[in-house]
Amino acid sequence: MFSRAAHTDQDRNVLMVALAEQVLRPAIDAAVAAGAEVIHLEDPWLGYVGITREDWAPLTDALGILHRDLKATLAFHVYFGDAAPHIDQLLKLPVDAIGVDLVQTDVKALGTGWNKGLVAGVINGRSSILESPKDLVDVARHLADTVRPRELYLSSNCELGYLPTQVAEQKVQRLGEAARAVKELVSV
Amino acid sequence: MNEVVDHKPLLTHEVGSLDKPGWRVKAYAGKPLDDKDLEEARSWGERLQVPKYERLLDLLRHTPFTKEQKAELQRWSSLYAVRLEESAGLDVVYDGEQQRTEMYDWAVSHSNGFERRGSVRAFDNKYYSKAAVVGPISLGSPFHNAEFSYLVSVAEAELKIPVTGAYTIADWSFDERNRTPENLLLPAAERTRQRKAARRDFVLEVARNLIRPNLEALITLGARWIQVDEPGASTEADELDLFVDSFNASVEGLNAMFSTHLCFSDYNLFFPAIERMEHCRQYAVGFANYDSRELGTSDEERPGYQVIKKFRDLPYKPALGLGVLDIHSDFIESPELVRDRVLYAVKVFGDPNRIHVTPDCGLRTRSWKVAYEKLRNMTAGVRMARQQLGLPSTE
Repeated sequence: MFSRAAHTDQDRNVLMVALAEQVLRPAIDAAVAAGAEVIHLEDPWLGYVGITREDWAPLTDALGILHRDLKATLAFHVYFGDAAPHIDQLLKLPVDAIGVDLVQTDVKALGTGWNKGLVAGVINGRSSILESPKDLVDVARHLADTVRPRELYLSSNCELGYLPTQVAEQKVQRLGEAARAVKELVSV
Repeated sequence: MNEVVDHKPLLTHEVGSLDKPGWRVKAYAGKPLDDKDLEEARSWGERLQVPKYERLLDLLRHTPFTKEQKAELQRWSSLYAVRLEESAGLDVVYDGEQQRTEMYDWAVSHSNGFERRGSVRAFDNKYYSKAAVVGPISLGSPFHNAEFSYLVSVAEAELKIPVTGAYTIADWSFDERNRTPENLLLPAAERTRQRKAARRDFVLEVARNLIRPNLEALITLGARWIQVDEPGASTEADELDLFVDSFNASVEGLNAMFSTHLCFSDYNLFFPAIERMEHCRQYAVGFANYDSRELGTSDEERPGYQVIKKFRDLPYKPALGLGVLDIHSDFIESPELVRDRVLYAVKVFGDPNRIHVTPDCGLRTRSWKVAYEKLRNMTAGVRMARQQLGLPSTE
């Protein structure tokens, strides 16, 4: 939905679909050709500003262009806002996984029995306070048990560019530590 | 000063920063100076008729500099900046932060309770060293006193001192007073409530324990007009009431004129929150950046200034520091363009006493040459507007 931030007098939904077709899809194809296995679409606009009912259909069209015959996992990540009001619609989008900012979103709002993967934004990219790997494991276990997504990805809630590099590195290390622990639990 | 500001129509002033001259930056960083730097110091000294500027040239020829000499060079830089603004014809002047590192770092460096966390991007390719608050916040030492005392000793025009505001200092810092990370399994509404309460406590602690004592120190020294800079004020649309509360907590009951500077935002966001900011006697706000460069005084010809009606209608009737110079461009606004922007604002307000004329923001992104030309045309445009309005000349 970066079409919303563009300077344009044109119809933004037409622009969104055109961006998907002419810019994002070629870029994604190039990334997949280079070996990318997961394409992570970041969409702060939807989380922060929201979306009107009539915009879901063109968003679905745009994502359909990106997802069609794609030989990689396509995730659509909503952040800088509460995803709870949008969960039902998000789960209908033609993508493989939905990303959610769990600093802003109640885990209970995610529902249960997802037909998609969940990119769980569990690391706060706007705070310098380091998360505890044990807490992250607890959250991951809870999500696996209750939401039951097709796949579970552990992630930051937003990009980490708002943090000093040293802090971001420590957070990523803790995220990795938690992910390893969760994998061990699953493999037992 | 209050009388001067309240009763002088179309008063002109700067907003905050000016670029730092190459010789000042290099000398302070211990880097070698070249002939170009010396020529810059000479030519501006001559052009601005800085008294005894030859002494600066002598000083610059004797590298390396001691700590005391570096401080002396900063004062020279201050003197040059004040003279630049006076020479451009401004009614109220400042030194463009020549003695400060920058607006966030300088405050944090003189405060207790902060620890550096590393560089983060401010905007474009500009980075700043972001700090975290890890304990009780307090003023380490008044951090504008030396600057103000020096400026009082050299300025011929009235002075205004900008001070970074509490909301911006807090917003640009991390809050680590409580290091316990959020429990994401708790209800989001409860976590949001706790986060907002901590945030409020944090911002107001900065206001009461850091900004206010520093303002008190400045007032004790004789400061009469203090501009509270709040570029971060509109970062969070749902925190504008907190911004207002932090301003009020910083200045309430203090005996000086307080204004605030807001920049580059959707200014509609500030309403109605700032209706409670009655201690703010002037808002310096950037508009030229959004405006047309065509001449004219109709609504259609002044698209960047439509929001000023909301400032006009504030119940406590503050002055508006009308930004008429785009600080993001080397485009030199003509006196006629400045005139028309001013005349439009006077028409909207119906009272020239409530219109002050300024750049959109600090001019540090422009060279001194461009800044000087812009400011000279600004004061020339104000003279034209005065004439057209039948106001007495200030010269």
